[in-house]
Amino acid sequence: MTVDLRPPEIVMRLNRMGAAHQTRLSFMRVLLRNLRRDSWQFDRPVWKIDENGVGTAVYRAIGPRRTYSLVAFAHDLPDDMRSDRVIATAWDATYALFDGTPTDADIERLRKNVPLQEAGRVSDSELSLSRANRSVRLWDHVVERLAAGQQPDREMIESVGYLMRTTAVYGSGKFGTADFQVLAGRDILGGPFRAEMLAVYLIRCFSLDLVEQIATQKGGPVAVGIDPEIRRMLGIGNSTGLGMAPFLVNHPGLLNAWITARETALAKVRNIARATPEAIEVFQNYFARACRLVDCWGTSHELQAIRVVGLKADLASLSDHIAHKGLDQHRPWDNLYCWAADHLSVEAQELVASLVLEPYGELIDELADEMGVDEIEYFQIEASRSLGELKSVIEQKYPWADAPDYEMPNHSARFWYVSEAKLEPRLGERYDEPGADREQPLDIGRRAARLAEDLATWPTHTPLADFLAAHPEHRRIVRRAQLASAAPYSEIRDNLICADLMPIDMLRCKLSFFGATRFDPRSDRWVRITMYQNAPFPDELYTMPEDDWIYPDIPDLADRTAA
Amino acid sequence: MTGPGVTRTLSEISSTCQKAARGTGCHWGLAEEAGTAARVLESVGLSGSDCVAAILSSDRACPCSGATSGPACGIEAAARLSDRIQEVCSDDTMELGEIIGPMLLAAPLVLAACRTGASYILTIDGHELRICRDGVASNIRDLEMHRPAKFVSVARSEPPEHAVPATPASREISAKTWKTLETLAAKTLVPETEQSRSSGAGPDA
Repeated sequence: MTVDLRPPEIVMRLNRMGAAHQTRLSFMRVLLRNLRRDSWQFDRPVWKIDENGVGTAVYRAIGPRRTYSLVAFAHDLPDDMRSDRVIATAWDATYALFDGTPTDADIERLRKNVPLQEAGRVSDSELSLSRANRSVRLWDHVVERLAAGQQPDREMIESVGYLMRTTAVYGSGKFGTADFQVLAGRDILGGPFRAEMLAVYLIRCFSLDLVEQIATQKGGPVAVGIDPEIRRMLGIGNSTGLGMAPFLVNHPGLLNAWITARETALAKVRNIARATPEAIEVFQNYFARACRLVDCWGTSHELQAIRVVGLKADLASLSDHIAHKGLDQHRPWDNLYCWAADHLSVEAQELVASLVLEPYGELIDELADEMGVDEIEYFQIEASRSLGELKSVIEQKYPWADAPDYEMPNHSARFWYVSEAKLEPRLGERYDEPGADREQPLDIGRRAARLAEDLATWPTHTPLADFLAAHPEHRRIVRRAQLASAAPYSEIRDNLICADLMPIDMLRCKLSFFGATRFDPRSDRWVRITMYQNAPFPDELYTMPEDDWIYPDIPDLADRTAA
Repeated sequence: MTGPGVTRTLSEISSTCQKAARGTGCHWGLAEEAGTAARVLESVGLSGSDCVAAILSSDRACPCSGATSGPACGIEAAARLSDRIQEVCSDDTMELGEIIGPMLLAAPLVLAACRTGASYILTIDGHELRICRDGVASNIRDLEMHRPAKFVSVARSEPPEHAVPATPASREISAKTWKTLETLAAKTLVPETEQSRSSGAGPDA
C-alpha cells in the first residue's frame, strides 16, 4: 500500500504550520544549489565606501545568460534613528537588485530613490528593493575586535547570528520593481521570491565587506580580516511583522503549490522501501547536526522557549528510538515519521519531516520547479457548474469552517485591517476598537459558513452563475472554493479571526519556505529570524560540499562549554 | 482621463483598482474582478485603470450599493460575462445592454481566450474590439470605451490579424486617474487609534 500525502486537515492547521522547518525545497537552498549548478560567478565592480563606512557598492552575480547586480548604499545613521519598524525613514543601508549590470547613470538614478525606500520610485530594471539595519551590539564588537587584530567572540557571533537585519525586502511590482511576470521562466529567478533571496544573499556579502572595511580604517595595519569560519556563522537577520501574514491567505494557489511540493517530497521519501547504508549515514549525520543546532536555538519568547525545550527532549527520545530500532527495515522513513507522529511534539514531527528528505535530493529537488503558479490562470469562476457541485465542495473542503459559532465574541474577536498611518496589515479587537467596517477579507471560515447557509436555500441544479448574480457578496469565497476543489492545500483550516489566533504561526510557515532558521518570536505578531547563516559565501560556493550548510557541522554543546 | 502620467506596475494597478472598488463599497469578490480586469487590460495596451476609475466615479446600477437606476456597472457586467463565457458562441450575439465602462468586458474575454484558445469580438456602440489568445486588436480610442455605451454585445469570431500582445512591463497611467483610484482606495484604510498604536504590529511596537 502506498503512503499518501499527509491530508490537509493535518497539514493546514495553524499549530502545525507554525512549527514548520526549512527543507531541501526552501527557496534559499534551491537558489544556492542552482547558482552552483549553472556555474554562476560573482564580483564586486564598484566599492566606493569612505572611511566612515558611507558610500556605494555593486555586487554582481554573473550567469550563463544573465547578470544580476545588488546596488548597495551605505549610510551614516544616527543611533536614535535606527528602527526596524516599517514606518522608519532611514536605515544603515539600502539596496536594489538590478536586472543586468548598472551603468553610472543607473546608479545615480537609484541613489536618488533607493535610500528613500517607499518614498522613492524604482523601475522595471529593479527586481527588489530592500533595507537593513546593523545589529549594533554585534557590529561594534566585531569592528573593535578586528581593528585590534583579534577575531570576534564566537559565542557572541553564535548568539546573534548576523551583522545586519533586513526590515523589508520588496519585489513583485511593489514601489515600481518589476512585476513577477517579468521573471517568469527566468533562469535562477524563475520561482517565487527568488529575486528577494538573491538580494539577501548578496546583502550578506556586503555586510561582511563593510564591517571589515570599517575595522581596517579604525585599526590600520593592526587590523585583521574575519576568519572564514566565523564569517560563515553570520547570516542576515530579519524582523517580520504582520505585513507578511495575509500573503498566505491572499495567494491560495501559491500556498497550495508550496505545500504540495513539500508534502509530495515527504510522501516520496516515506514510500522508499529500503534505505541504502549511504542514505542512512546522510540522515544520521544531519540528525546529529540538527540536535546540536537546536541546542543553540535561543529565544526569549515564552511559548517558543517551551517548544524548544520540548524539541530537545523529543530529539533525545528520537535518538534512543533510532538506536533501538535502527533504520535497516522496510519503509524506514515512513516508520520513523509515524513513530514521531505518535510520540513527539508537532515541532519535532515537522523537523523529522524535513530531516528525512535530506538524503534524497535526486528524488525530490526537482519539485522546487513546481512551486510557482500563475494565479490569473485560475481566476475565472466556472459558473456553469451547478450549486450541487459547490455544496459538495463546501462540505468536503470546509467542514472546519462550520464548527465555530461566529456570533460568539471569542470566535470573531479579531479583525484584519490595513492601517491608515502605516499602510500595513494589522489585527484589531472587533469589540473594543473601531474599524471592523473596513475589515480585510481574511475571515475565510466565517465566509464559507455564510455561503453554506445561503446555499442551503437554493435548489442544487441551479447554475452557479444565477446564484452569484443574486449573491455577489459570496463571489470571493466561491472563487476560493473552486480553487480548493482542485488545490487541497490552498486554505488554512483554522479560524483567522478568533481570540486565540497566533499570527506568528502564519509568519513561520511562510518563512520556513524561504529557508529561515532560528525563529525567535518577539510577540504573538512578529518574529526575528536568520537567513543564510552558515551558508557558503560566493568565494566558497564551489569549494564547500553542495547544499550542506543548513545543518552546520558545529561542535556539540558539551565540547563548546569545555572549550 | 488624460494629462501627465505616472508609471505604475501591473501589480500596483491591480492592487489599487481592487482597493478602490472596495473603497466605493463593492463586495470583495467584485473588487477582485475590477483589479484583475484592470491588470489584464493594461497588459494588452488598453487603459484598464482609466476604465475602472471612470466606472467607480459614475452613477450606475450596482448590486453592491443597491442602486437600480442608470447604466449597468461595468465591473458587475464583466463578472456576469465571465460567469456566462461558455454561452458566448459564433452564430449568436450576446446582447449586454447599456453599460458604463464597457471596455472592462474585454478582460474576461482575454482570460478565456488565453485559457481556451477561443477568439471573440466585443462590440461597443458599433466599434469593435477583437480578442484572441495572442492579444487584442481595437479600432476605437480608449476614451470612447470608458463612457456609458448603449449597445454592447459579444460573440465568438475569427482571430484578428494584428493583435497587441500582453507584456508585463510597467506603464504610464494618468495622474488624475491614479489620484482618483488612490483616493477611493484610501477608504479601505482604518485610522489609527491609541489602542491600535499600543497593540502594534511588529518590531519595536
